[in-house]
Amino acid sequence: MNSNNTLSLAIMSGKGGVGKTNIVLNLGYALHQAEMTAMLMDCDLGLANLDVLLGISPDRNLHDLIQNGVDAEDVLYPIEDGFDMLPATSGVPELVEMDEDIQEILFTKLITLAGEYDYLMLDLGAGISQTVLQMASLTQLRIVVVTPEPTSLTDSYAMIKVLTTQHDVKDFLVVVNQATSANEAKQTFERLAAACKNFLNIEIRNLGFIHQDPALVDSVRHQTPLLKHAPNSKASNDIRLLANKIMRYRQDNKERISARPILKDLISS
Amino acid sequence: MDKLSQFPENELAAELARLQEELGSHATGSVGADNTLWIFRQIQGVSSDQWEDISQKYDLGNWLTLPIDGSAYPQLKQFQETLERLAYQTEHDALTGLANRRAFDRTLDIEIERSKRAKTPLSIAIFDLDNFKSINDTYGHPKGDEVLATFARKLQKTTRRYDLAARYGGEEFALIMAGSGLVKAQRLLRRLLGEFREIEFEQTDGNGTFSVTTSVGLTCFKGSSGVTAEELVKLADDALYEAKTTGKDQVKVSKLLFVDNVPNDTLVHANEKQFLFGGK
Repeated sequence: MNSNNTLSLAIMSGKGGVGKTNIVLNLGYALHQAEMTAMLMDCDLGLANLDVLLGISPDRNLHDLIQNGVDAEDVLYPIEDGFDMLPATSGVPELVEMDEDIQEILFTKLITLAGEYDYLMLDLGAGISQTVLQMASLTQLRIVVVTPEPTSLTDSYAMIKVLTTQHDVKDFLVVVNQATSANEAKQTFERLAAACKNFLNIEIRNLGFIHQDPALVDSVRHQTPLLKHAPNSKASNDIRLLANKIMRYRQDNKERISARPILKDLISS
Repeated sequence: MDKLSQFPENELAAELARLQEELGSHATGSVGADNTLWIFRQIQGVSSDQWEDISQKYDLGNWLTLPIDGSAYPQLKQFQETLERLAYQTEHDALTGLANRRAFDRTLDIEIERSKRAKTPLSIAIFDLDNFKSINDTYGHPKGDEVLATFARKLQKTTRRYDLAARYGGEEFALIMAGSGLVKAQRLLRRLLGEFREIEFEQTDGNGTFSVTTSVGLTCFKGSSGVTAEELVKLADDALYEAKTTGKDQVKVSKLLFVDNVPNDTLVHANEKQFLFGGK
């Protein structure tokens, strides 16, 4: 079913602007540096950003992949050896609300290719549209990116609530981004965890946090992954720690991962 | 008795006059079996005597009336039943009771229009029972008919009330799924194929049972392009052919119409991005 133990992760946030795409890119980069292979998929379908963070402008994207006769290999954009991305489009509102048929076409086309990687990471768009929720429910793991701001906390909680009550998804990993201190990160996670426990009766898990770091802003301006631009920055160290935890999870759960499909099948679910 | 005052005499007279005028404007002159119509309508609360008065008063003498009692009633009832039976037969398959191809074509036309207007998905599946000829050859035609009727019942039971299941010809069936996209349609079809595959048919020689599998071609329309019923059926047929030639007992989806129609005039192109990046 999933012989290479490809671990699929959806990175999501509810609120926009919390650093989701940067985390996807740099987590992927950290995994790559640890000699893992990873495929990133930009699922912010109407307003792509992953390519922008890399300063690249791919000619083909997911919009092309949907069409007849186009395969995942045709659209795949190599970032580094064994570290590839599937770019989304910018400016196509029709794709933002991708119905389940279009999702099925996309995932059917890329699932074989995805199976050749150690990790498949979906960078989901902000918001709680049906498209985002549906995609979040297909992966094996979900990482919710949250910042200490009350707006981010509320939006993340709302997203978790919809997924728990409507899509029967109850497992979430949380990354606190833009934290000024370890203590602030801890408090942020604990507040969210307490709300999930009290009102939804679910236990969310703390994957870790990333320090607020001016080097990150600088790396975005340079359109270079932080881990490449400022490998010794605080945030880079934090991200490498997160990547290590994810690798450990994959190592410890190989059997479980290989027994499950990389992405849930929409038709039989 | 004040029945006449309750009966809207003026309205009826006006309606009949309008109808007469309208029909008159369509009359072609020559009279033959192919352009002659009887128009029947039941009107309550009017006796033969009253009609006599009305028809004289409003010059409606060319309208034929029949009282619903005495000898006319059984005759008309029988006439009505014959009409109903004929109407049913023109749109249904005798063996399976499903809609026939004519009804399928008519419904498909209507559903395509509806789908275009409402921008709702419309899926069409064509089924072919695998190796059906050998069932007929091995177990005889009555057994073949039993298999067809069983499949028809399964099809009817698995689908929703607003789907249309039809016998499309020989061992071919068709299904119109209004409002269903590919994912929903495939969910239904997989279940149907699985359940039918499980059915055990008695062998005619009493030597146990056999089962029958089905191949399906599926296509989907999303109201965006000006496709015809023939084109949709052709797409589903092509997919069925693929299902048949690549191992049978499966659902194959056709080349998709709607995916090439995502508008891209708003798409931000690679050169625009490069410009924004400052010539990177």
